Amino acid sequence: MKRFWVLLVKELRELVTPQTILPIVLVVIVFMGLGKVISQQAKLQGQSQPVLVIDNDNSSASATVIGLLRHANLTVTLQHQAALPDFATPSSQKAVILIPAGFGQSLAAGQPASLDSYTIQTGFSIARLVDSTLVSSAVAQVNAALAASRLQQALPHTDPTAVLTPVKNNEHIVVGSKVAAISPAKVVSYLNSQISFVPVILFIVILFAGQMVATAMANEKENKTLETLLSVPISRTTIVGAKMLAAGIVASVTAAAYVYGLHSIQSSFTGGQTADATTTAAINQLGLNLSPQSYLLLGLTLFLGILTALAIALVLGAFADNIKSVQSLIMPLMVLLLIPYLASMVTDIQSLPAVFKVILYLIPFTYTFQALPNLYTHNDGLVLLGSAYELACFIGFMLLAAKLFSSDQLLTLRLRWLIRRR
Amino acid sequence: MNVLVVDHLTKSYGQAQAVRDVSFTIGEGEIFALVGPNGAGKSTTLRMIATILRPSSGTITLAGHDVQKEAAKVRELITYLPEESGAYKALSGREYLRFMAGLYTNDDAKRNQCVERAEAIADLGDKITAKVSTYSKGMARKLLLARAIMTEPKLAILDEPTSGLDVLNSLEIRKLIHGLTEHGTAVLLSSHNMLEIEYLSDRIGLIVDGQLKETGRPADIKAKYGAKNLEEVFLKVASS
Repeated sequence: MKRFWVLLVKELRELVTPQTILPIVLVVIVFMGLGKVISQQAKLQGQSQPVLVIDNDNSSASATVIGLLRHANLTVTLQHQAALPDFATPSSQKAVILIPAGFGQSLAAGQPASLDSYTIQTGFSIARLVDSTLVSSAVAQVNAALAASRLQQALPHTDPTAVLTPVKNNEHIVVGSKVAAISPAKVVSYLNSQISFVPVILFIVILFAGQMVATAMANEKENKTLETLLSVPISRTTIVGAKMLAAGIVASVTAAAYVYGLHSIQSSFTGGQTADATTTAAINQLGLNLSPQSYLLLGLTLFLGILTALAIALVLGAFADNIKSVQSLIMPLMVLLLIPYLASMVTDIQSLPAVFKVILYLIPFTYTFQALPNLYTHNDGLVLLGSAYELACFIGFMLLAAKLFSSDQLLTLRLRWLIRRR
Repeated sequence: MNVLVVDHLTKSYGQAQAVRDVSFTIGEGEIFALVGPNGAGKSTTLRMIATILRPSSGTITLAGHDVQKEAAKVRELITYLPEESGAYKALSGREYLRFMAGLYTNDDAKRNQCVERAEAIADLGDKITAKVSTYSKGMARKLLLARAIMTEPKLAILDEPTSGLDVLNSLEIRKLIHGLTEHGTAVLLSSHNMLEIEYLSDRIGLIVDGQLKETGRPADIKAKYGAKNLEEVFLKVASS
């Protein structure tokens, strides 16, 4: 045990270098910084936005519209009888709304009245998407209020909402046998916000662990330390075990750092708010929350996924002569991870044709990526079955790795090639 | 008493035979050198004795233990310095020695003793606390040799111990190897350098194309072939 510890410490010292720590720290700092920026943007967008309204009509109708615009969370700077401003001059206004002469007259005649809007678009990112709909959202609110008001005048004994929205949709969501009275979009959006970053983390942690152990193997060969290590009085299993554990520890710490960073970004989108009371109640009613047993199963499948990746990487790493070759050797593992990762991001595996389903379920990592959705839908049996399959794959690759390490193969893979070349 | 007995040792890679029917013995405190050109099978023979490669046929017995059947026990009794060997660059010289000593013993006192002995052998001064990545080739080789002999093994297997070193460093390392046998350690080494071999070895084995052509004391072999030095012997054996 003491010798295992000596080896483990050495492996960790080899893996934890400024070159490995710096990118992780940078990613966390960048993610946190991004989170802060997005959070500030979200706060700014929630505030009342400044617009310039040029009222060239000066009617009571235009005054009503301006009042309604103010009610629609716009900070209105009002000008009367003015021309459009010079857009080349920088301005803090988000938009200019021009109410032309005759606007009130058209409304009074029961005709549609037009106004002109000029949205000042300062960027084209997702954060600036809100600017592009600023005026149209406000005008929609104005239209709704005006329509209700006109209906009230025309049909004083009728509820305007009964005319404007004659059919009301009382939404319900059904999950399994459970039903909750809530918009399905709300539930899906909430759950998505909770689990959308999980596949990213899984992908990073599994790939990172695999890369670490393959690099550790390549390092031994490149630094010409492998032969010495194989001749010391330590079992090959201990050497392999120490390498795998060290890679697992470093990958887990990296994953924790990434989770923290991604969580900062995600919180910034929601302003750090969790679900509202209605959504929380519906989630509970539908049983869409994870029990301690679910968390255990999630941990189990993740643990087995990492072990399988480590075992595969160990076998692949045995072929590496140097660190450069690790990148290409690790490619098969990356493909095995990428397929279920992308599939879990863009589609529901259950709805795929049988052939694709079989291919996906032959890849052990599919069960890890699918674990959370399966646990949410109480499909614990599939998670357990997947874990058993992952365990079988892990044992299979470990046996292969053990065979490689206890035979000449680790050295002769290269030696044989050299002899053939001669 | 023989520490090492190599008996009809053969190693094949598919159709190619790297080592063919090699037999020799090494006694306690004896220095035995395998001499031969590149690709003659020296390193393969050393690797098989060091438990890294498995023989295709034949047996190797070290201090009464079969190298294949009792590999774990044999590894406790030997140390191996490969021709192309390195140390972990993230560690300092002292940390490397401490790490390696920790793989041979669980006893902290013995571990410290090994490290102290190795530091004295390597004689790197203050540089022993510097990262291995900052070492010159000679310094690194001295550190690795110190590592290979710090545990006072029954058999030290040294593959081209002075390979790539300048005259001064080579001389120092030869002295170190000579000093090893005072504690009863047997040494099996390989080298291209005939002068080195003549100076260091009690007995030599000439290996050509995987076959051991001649074994004996350098003086006896020179006399047998009527040669002035081992280089002449080697040329005669290789061309015969």
